Amino acid sequence: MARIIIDPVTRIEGHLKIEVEVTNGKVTDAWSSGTLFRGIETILNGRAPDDAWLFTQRLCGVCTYVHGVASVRSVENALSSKIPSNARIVRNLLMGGQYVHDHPVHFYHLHGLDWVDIVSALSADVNETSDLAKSLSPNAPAIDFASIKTRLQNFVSSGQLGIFNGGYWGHSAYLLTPEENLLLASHYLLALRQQLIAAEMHAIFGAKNPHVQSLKVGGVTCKFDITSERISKFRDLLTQMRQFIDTVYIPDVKYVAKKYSSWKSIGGFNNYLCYGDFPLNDAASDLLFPGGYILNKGTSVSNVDLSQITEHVNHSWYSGSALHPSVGQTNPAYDSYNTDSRYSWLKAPRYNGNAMEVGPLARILVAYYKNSSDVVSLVNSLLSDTGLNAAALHSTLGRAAARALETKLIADKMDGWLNGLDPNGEVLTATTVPSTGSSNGYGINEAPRGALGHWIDIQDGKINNYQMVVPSTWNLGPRDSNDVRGPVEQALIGTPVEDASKPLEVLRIVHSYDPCLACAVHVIDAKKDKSYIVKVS
Amino acid sequence: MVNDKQTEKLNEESTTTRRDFLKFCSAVGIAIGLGPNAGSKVAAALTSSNRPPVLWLHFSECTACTESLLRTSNPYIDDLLLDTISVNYHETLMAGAGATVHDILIESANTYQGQFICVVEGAIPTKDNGIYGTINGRTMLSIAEEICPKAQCIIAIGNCSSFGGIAAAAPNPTGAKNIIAALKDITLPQVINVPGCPPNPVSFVGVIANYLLKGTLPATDDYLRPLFAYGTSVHDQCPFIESTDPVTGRCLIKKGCKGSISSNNCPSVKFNNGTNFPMNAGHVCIGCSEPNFWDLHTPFWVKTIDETDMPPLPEVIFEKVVSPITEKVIFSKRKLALLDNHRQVQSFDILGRKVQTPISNSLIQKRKTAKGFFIDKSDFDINKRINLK
Repeated sequence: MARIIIDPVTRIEGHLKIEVEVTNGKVTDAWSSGTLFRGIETILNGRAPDDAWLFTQRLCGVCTYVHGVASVRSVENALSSKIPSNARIVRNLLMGGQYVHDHPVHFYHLHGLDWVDIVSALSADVNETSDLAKSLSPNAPAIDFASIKTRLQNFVSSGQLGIFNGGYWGHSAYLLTPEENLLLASHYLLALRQQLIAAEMHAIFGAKNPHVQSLKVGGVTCKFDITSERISKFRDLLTQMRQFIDTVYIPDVKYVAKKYSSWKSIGGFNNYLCYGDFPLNDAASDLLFPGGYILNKGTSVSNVDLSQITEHVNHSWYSGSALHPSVGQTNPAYDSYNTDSRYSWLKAPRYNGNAMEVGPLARILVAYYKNSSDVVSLVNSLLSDTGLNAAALHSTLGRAAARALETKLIADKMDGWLNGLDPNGEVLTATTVPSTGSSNGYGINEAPRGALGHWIDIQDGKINNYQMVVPSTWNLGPRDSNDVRGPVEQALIGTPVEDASKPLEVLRIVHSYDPCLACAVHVIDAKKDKSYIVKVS
Repeated sequence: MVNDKQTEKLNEESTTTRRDFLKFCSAVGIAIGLGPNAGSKVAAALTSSNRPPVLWLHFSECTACTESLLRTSNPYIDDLLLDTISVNYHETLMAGAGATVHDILIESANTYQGQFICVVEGAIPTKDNGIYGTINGRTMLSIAEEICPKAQCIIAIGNCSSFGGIAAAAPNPTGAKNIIAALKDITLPQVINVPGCPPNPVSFVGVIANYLLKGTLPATDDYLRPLFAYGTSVHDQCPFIESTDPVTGRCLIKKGCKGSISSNNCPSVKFNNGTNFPMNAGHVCIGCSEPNFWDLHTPFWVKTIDETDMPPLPEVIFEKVVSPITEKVIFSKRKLALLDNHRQVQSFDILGRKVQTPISNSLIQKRKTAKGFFIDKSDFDINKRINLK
């Protein structure tokens, strides 16, 4: 029995520490620890509600935008403000742009090096790689693999390995041939350029990326950006992204899934939660992703009732007991890192007492079992192309595949959404926060990493209390009051670890959750006389 | 589906971006005082085979500054990582993990003591001995104390490491401080600040280019911001004016825009390949390159500018007296070797093919945008603007 500590976990956003216990070559226990606390909610108290989104967006520069829109939605909900159609569509396009940027970057740059051995690529036969590329995706851009190989070789020969230093190159858990590694290493570089296109798309209606600056309580501010020229520019960039998704990203994910098929039964979890998002009409009665939750790998989906959420702090560096967010308390109380006691700045959110996974797999499973036709056909095509069955979705591979499928789904839909923009239409409903009285509201959405909720309590025109329950807190939180593990802690159990000094397999599972820690560590600071009950169908 | 037409398009784009790269190099050459014909030297310096080591530290931050750098298109991020600098430590990007990479950090700092560039992203929590942020079981404060003094120079990227940023906004729950204030009792190498939330990648790359080409850090203002990027106010570069004209009369100063007291290059350089900037998207400037803007400038849409917007003096922000950088201080011995290097410039296009292009003399290419009415400025104009002092 050995304990392995990975700190820092790299290729994520934020500061994460993972500790696992390995017995006879398998993980037998695991602890997930967030190691940075900023206290943004405390900073928000007393400030202007319509400023909050600019602060909360700075929770994370990777999932930029998502905390912005959750925040303006919470104020709009508190003030019963309706946004114009243009604003709804622009927000959907910005959120869609976020997915189209984030997910390929995750696959190639954050998760990819867990599957792809860059050093092995140096011994590839470039002609074979070229043949493989053509057979895998005949319409993909024709890459000069010889040049890429030389470039990588020169880089390695320089003796300055830079970001590739310290990788687990040559590890026996890397299963791809040199030719396959060269293909995917080339796509690593291609995707670095491709992400610029998605970001540029974001900037058309968002002013800039990262950290969009065109939201406002009541809608969006980018009135002068909604022109036929800019819509057409957006479509052009989107088309380039869709081509990349269809000819590079999706084929690569399917291929990796086939080559690493043993990972269809490793790293899975049982329970899934999705709030739903992408309102397709102004009444928000139709969502691209329906909300719901699933327990015990079931096939039936239940409706979400947010009053069932509690946050536990027994194993977090806070004092207090398990409470609903609306009555939560803020008492940071760091003592020491101790896996038997307190070991994380993250709290442990639970839905009706259950640890829940949120994110791409949760969204896809909820939509699939709610018979959402687009998702059913995408999932069925994935299963038939990879030879996997639906049970295999509850796995590390299922998470990566769900991410790719929803990227395609959203990118394809965005093209049609563009048609709904009206250059002559309004973008903003004038909304003023009353300087007296009190109100409260919530804003929920589906960030690329999962279900996200902001709650605001406004008193006399100022923020009296602000709370957030965010995706990586769900996925990477510690044990709860009953010592039940969080999703990533549970998903790690049973993982084979060939070499305890090189825990590549552990990283694969942790990265499959796309951890984003900056927003996961936060404070709940609420008045005890308020409760928020939100139903999401 | 990608067809021949698409491939053609990619090829066409790579040619265009190559041209953009060279234009950028010329712009940098002008900006850092090498004159208008230094583009080839800049390009050579940016694609050197002798890459200076960079150790990039992530503290109390959101990673937007890293994301912003990933958006660089002049040069592209893969050119920067593979051909320009050697990023030996960067938690978001590096392949390795855990104690292995922490050892790489410590060893690199010792091996390249006095030679590496230390980039700091994020503020440093100092309250309660810094326990609010740890990496590899150590506080961020102790890591900064060990690594930063060994650098040749320190680039603070973003408002947090430059001035404290959002983590230090009132009531500053974790005692977050900028790098100079957090380490005020330690002798540090020269620090240069590249603030913004996040900054435009051009501003960071310009500092690197200056270092590679001239062996110096660029001249700064009293808050240690390079003048080539922060030498003029946002308002002075903004195309919008107070008028009733529906196109140009979109000045937001009476709605709380902080452009007139903010030093940055947003309206000139713009973001994401020249696509947009906040005022064009109808949003007020929030002054994200300024010290303490989260407290001084809020509420953003309401508070018009008055004396309370003025930032504290540098010695208050940095908790010690600092002097602005002048161009005369030499940091690197790389200078002569690079300036003598007139080899053909090499780069790679999006499909991985090596590109060898003679330097284009054409600096001026009109950039059209959808609206056309203000971004239709020559690149020469942009050069001049980012060079304002």
